[in-house]
Amino acid sequence: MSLTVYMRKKDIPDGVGIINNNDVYFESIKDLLNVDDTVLHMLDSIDQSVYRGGTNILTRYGEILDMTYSSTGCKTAINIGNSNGKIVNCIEAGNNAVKEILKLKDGTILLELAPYIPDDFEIDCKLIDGNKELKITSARKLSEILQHIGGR
Amino acid sequence: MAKFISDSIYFNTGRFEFDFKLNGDVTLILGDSSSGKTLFFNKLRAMEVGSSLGKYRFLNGYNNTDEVKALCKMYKDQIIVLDNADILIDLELRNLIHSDENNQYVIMGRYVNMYPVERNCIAFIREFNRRFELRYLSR
Repeated sequence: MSLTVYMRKKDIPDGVGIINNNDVYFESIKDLLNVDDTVLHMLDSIDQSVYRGGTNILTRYGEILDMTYSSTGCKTAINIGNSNGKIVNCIEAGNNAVKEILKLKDGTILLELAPYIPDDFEIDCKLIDGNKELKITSARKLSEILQHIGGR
Repeated sequence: MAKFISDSIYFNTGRFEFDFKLNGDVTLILGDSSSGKTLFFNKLRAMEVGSSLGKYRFLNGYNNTDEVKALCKMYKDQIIVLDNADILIDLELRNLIHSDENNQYVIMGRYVNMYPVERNCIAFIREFNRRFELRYLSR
């Protein structure tokens, strides 16, 4: 398995759903969310929050809040593994969230803006460029492609 | 040009302090996920619930683009705080903001080229001990 990355909306096949509003979508899956290691990792690495059971998290400010108050980038990252076949638009994910997303080994995303990758890391990604599929193993390489030929 | 109504937003919730200087009629706030953009939106909105001044209006991804356009046209002398802007903005809304002579805008987004904003009005949020400020790309 690998992470499938579309860099242009027009490359997405007709009939395939796109999750554009990740906050709203997250609300629809939150109550039945399987809080696995990936979810725990995203909460920790993006928001520095800790899962506290049910739909609660302990934020880095020491508040117990509903997961609704996670950042949009964190919710975007969590949605990818729970997208029910839809493609997750990462337009609202900040650079820190995109870096965590690119480390995923599975899922399908739309990534139109190039992330800033000062320190390269290994990824396992299938980039869709029109009719072509490119296997990408370097986060910085992916960013360079997006800067030069992809995205909006 | 939008309308430059206020050069700052300051409020203190008791746990969080926001001291934002605004350089122009449209301010674009960028930043990593969890840097405080939506926290600012939610806390300011909560502070405004009991206020009779009605200085701010809050729009986000729970509104759709057409709603946002209609409300921006309706509002007068407001500071419109727009979260989730990247999924709401289209060319028509961009032009509406650019030509709105009645309202000031504070926009949270990432897609810099889409917004009608001068470079000295593009900022990141910086936090130190729960005190949040804006750091601009240029002065």
